[in-house]
Amino acid sequence: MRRFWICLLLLGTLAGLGAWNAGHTETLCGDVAQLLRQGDGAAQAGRWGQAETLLLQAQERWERETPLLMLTLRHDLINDISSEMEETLVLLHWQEGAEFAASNTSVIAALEALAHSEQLTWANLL
Amino acid sequence: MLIALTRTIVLYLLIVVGIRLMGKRQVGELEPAELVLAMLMSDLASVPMQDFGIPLSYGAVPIVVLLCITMLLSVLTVRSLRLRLLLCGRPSIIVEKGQLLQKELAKTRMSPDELMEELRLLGITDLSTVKYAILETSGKVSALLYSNHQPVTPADLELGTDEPGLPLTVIDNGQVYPDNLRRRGLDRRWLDRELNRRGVSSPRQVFLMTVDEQGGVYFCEREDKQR
Repeated sequence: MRRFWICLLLLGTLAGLGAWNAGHTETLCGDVAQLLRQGDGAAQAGRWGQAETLLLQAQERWERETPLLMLTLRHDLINDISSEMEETLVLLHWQEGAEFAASNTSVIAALEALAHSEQLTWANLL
Repeated sequence: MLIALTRTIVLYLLIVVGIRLMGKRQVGELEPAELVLAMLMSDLASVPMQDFGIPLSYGAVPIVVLLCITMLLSVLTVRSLRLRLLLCGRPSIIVEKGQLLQKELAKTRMSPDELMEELRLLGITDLSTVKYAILETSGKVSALLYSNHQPVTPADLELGTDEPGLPLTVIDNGQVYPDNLRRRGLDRRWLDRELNRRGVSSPRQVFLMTVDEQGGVYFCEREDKQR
């Protein structure tokens, strides 16, 4: 029976870690996306400096979590978002309004898709 | 390259530990759930071995989960007959008192040819000598012959025989197993004496040496003697 309880505990631990990972990914992607939206708003209002600060915050927050994300998510998804963020920052720096908005939207969409992919939903299960 | 090397080692060890925990040595003895597990584990491990863009956890977590489920089911099937019947099925009697049970054969989807093949592998060529034949849950066939077709034993002839002893390995490829020596009530001095008697100066020159309960020794010297 000892093995039974050990296995049950291990399964429970894995389930708990999975649930935590799903929640953490959703929170992280949500926070980063929110900063990007705020940056987009600032850019549209002409406050490029503020927009850049917000985007750098978003990037810094994302880069800080990347090592943990690499343990549980496909690396190409994480690398794609990182490189798109870099591209968005460059466009913001050169104040390329329309292209920045498009690139920023693409990053936000990628973050939302990533967060959704880790949730326990019928769409993901099936 | 380094990543491939490390991942392969990690996943390989995980599978070896998993198979070892299953407690079976041969695929033929596996229950259906365990056979599925063995097949799945190799596929699950190969994916992160080849695709470095996939985290190691994508292979390791499913393997660990499968192992846990298999272990849970193993424990539960021991405790619950109903679950055991559900998961493993029950043995099917296909020959009863010398009669081929054709309905049972059809139910198990076994042809008479296949039955004859399995019986031949058991050394039985004449179906009329078989009293019972049972298709076990592992897929193997076991057979009980009529008594007058079974090999004669010393008990049948009322002959007394010496009880065989269980040989324990005391030297394996040059390595001495002191625990097994102790189990036989022997020690290193006895071993050295035995080796000297056989013209060998060191256990490293021995490929295999066993001792049974009656003190019977099997000795095999190494062909490439190490000094």
